[in-house]
Amino acid sequence: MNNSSGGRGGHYSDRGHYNDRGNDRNGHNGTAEVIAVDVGSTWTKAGHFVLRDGRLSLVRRASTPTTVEHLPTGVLELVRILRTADNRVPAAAANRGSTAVPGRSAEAPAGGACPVVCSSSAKGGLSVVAVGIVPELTLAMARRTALSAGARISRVFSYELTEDDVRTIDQINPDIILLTGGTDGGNRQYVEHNSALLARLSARPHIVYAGNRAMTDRVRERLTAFPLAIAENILPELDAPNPEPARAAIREIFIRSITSGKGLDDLRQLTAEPVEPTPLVVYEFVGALSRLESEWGGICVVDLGGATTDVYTAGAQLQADGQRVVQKGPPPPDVLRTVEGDLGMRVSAPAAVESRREFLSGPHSPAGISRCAAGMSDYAAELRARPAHLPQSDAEHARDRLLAAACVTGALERHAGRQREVYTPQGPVWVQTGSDLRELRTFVGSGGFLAAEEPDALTPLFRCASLDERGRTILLPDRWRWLRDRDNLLPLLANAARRFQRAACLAAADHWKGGTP
Amino acid sequence: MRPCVIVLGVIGSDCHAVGNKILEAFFSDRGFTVVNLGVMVSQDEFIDAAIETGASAVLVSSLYGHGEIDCAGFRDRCIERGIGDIVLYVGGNLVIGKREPAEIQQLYHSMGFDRVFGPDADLDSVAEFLAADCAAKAVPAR
Repeated sequence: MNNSSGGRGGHYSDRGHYNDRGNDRNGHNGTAEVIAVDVGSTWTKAGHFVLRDGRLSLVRRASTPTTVEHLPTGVLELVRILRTADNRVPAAAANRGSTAVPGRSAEAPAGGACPVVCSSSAKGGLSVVAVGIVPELTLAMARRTALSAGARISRVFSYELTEDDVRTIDQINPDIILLTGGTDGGNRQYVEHNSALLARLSARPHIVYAGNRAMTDRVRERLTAFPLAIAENILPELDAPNPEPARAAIREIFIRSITSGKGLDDLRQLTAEPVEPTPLVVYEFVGALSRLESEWGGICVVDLGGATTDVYTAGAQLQADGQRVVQKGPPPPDVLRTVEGDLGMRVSAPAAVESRREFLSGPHSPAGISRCAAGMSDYAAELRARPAHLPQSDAEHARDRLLAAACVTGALERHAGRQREVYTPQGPVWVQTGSDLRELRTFVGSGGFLAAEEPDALTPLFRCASLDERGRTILLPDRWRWLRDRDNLLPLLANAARRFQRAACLAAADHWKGGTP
Repeated sequence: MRPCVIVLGVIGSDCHAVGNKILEAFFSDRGFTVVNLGVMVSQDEFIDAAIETGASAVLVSSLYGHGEIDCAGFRDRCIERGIGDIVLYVGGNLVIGKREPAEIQQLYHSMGFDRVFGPDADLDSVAEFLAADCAAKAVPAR
């Protein structure tokens, strides 16, 4: 595979933003439908959506424990349930394990040949090791690019790789190594060195080279033993990031090769679209939402899971206004995804308590919290040992809420950009890194805990710091509207959006504001 | 031959942007590949950019008089960061008050700058020096 032609835009760009093509593709009587499936690490979930008169309704949903030994088994089971369900009786009565969700219409079409779209984050998702030179430049871009492609970043390396690093990569055994370094015509020394070191790997992961164009031939000749994709440089000039070609290359590898490694290629016959990483599908969806719901003033989605906290923002970036704000580092992207591996509700609970010690013991904690905070370390250790644990008492419930607040505020603080004021002979100037999110107004909470909890109960807890440890302003809003992704529909709607983008966005907006899709 | 890459910027808390733009236009016109970092650039930002772009030279401007503080230890930092052999120029209003040009040169040479220019420097000769110095150091494979 060779992506050197690169440059092809985002996955959906060729379709127009809101062209719901399903409308006339599989429609009958002005309706169209899709079954959306999300294969998670523990649960596989599916929803049957029907599009009628531009509105998308969830007719029925079902879930089953993920069949780790063979992922398609669970998917096929759910599709069978949803396709054969008799629409005149509530689905729950007909099928064990499936949950009926009230639809807009009692006469939804039976999903006989209904197209299926599927995403997966099972079996560790898409594991990427990123290699760059300067941490704030090519390595930052490599990290950002891999995350935007839906990857889980297993490790990053700056400057020169060592023999130890090579052994570490062999141990990690990632799906993909993203090798970057140097602007076009720029630094050659590090890619020269690092490609030679990577050639010594025992494992044979995919390698995407997206560094200095001048080193392409050298890299190709060095890494003949590996499945290698060449993409355009992610940072051809210091102030001109170019993540799309490398992102497309990663996505292509996932679809063509990695899904088969995880046993998902058996689904190729079944699905109308390629199986994609779930975070990539959500990333695209958040971008589409921000374009559609412009009155929201940008959107932030926080996906709080057991192991990680993912934050996506789009459409909120304030433009640095000339003289008074000086932006440093590569310009922020339109849609930004960050993933915090040490902030999570179960497996990562001990790490979260450790990282957020100051928040948990700080003077900002609302009254009554300090009492819960005292036992947090023990509770977190218990959660790690038993990730399926649900709170059994009011005290445990309070601790869960506090843990969620620690994770969410920590992830948001790291996600947002920073400004510091500098006094100059010409007056004060603000030096900025990252995204200015102070105009952001809409926050959507997703993932098991946030989907279940009443947002009003959380709002007083979700108070981010205004200054970071270096005294810089954290560019988050003072106040916001916290919405909740009840029933965890986000991954299903994001998949449905691959067929009916505009309608799925409208349905999500409705749902989060309290309606029933 | 690969065009000579130079990194340009105004150091410290100095936001004099006009001269910086003029220098960018001038050196680009003379065939250099200019990586312009603009105003309010820290030592590490100069060095990060020089590493990533494989630059042969760093041209530091300072107009507001605090260059003496901002530029202290620049060469040492380059050495620490692995680009100790890079060509370093500095120019502008480099000190506060009236001081002899020779004294100013001496001051900045001691910080490791290869050439030191006042506010009235002749850009044509700077470009000639720069081409010669880059060729002499010849570090194309960074």
